[in-house]
Amino acid sequence: RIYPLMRVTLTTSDGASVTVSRQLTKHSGFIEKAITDMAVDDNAVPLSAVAVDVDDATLKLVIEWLTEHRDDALPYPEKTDEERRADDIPAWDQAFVQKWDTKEDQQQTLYAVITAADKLDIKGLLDMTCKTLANKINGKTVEEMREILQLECDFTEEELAEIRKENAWCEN
Amino acid sequence: RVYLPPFNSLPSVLAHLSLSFVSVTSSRWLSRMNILDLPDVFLRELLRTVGLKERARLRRTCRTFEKLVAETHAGHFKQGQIYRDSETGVVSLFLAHAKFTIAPTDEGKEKFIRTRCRLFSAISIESFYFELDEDLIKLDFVRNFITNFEIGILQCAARTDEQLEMSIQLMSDYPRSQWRMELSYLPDAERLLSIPPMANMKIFGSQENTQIPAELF
Repeated sequence: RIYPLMRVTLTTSDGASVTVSRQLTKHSGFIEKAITDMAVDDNAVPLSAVAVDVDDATLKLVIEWLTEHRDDALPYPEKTDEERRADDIPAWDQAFVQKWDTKEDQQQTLYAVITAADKLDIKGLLDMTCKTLANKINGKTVEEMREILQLECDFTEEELAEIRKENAWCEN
Repeated sequence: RVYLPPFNSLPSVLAHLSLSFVSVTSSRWLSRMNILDLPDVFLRELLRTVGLKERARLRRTCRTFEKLVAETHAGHFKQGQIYRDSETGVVSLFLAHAKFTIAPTDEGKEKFIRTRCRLFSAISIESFYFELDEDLIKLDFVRNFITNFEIGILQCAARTDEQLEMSIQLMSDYPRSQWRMELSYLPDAERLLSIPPMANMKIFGSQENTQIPAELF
């Protein structure tokens, strides 16, 4: 049982402390496990600090997302492959990602949030960021994909020609 | 004991602190994340989310993605088909709006299997249709091709007893799929009765009056 008013203090990798409601942290498998492992009295307010390997700026974004999604169903429903393929990102989530400053910073912030969602085991946030990145590369050329994902081509011209030939049936 | 620098060395200490700050700032700048730094579980999920065309293009971006594409699940697709065109004799595979024409040689078939292995390690297909034959689209070839396929509905067509036998063998590899079969000839009663239960079964006779053996009823 989760008590909505109960609060937990999170300490970030850069030394900050943030106190949040258990209503939000219940969506994080990592934090919930940490609280269970502490075997503390659920009525203790606030709970002892839980250390998270996420910096303060990224944790604030994660908390902002959790606040919007605090009433999402738990346990997080397992997605079918068909649902996974759909690009149906809720409007609030789209706006949440789009507001991250410049193009380059947006990509870095997105990567930081993805890493945080993985470390904190927040499945809904991982799904949303995965679809966001998939939408960014859908329909793009190889050169555009390299630019978006900041990848260096390490193939020789001959290798590229060979792969292009192999791919011809499904790439065009 | 705490070391206190002499008063006259303070400017150099400040310079050192300032340098330290610069080095911290630049190291943060240099530690920019790349997509390949993301958790493996996320990259696999991403490759399950993008389409087949995008997988093929990602293969061409760099060696790491080439490897990742080959080693990951391709996700869900509506339909797949493998059959030989009765007029042209050409063997074709349809997958996610893409058509692959298979050269009617052992080398052509090997190339086809190799290409599949470079595009995904596993795939989920809602409905897969196949037509086996006695010379080119043999049981082993299709069995090899659809290794690690998760198939919802498995449909086949057969024109001879041998094709029927091979089709049943292939279907038995997928006990959790729904089976559908179309026969364009009428097998004898014993063979008909040996066909396992199908969700849907059609028999098309080439003659106007096809005699269904009384033993069936």
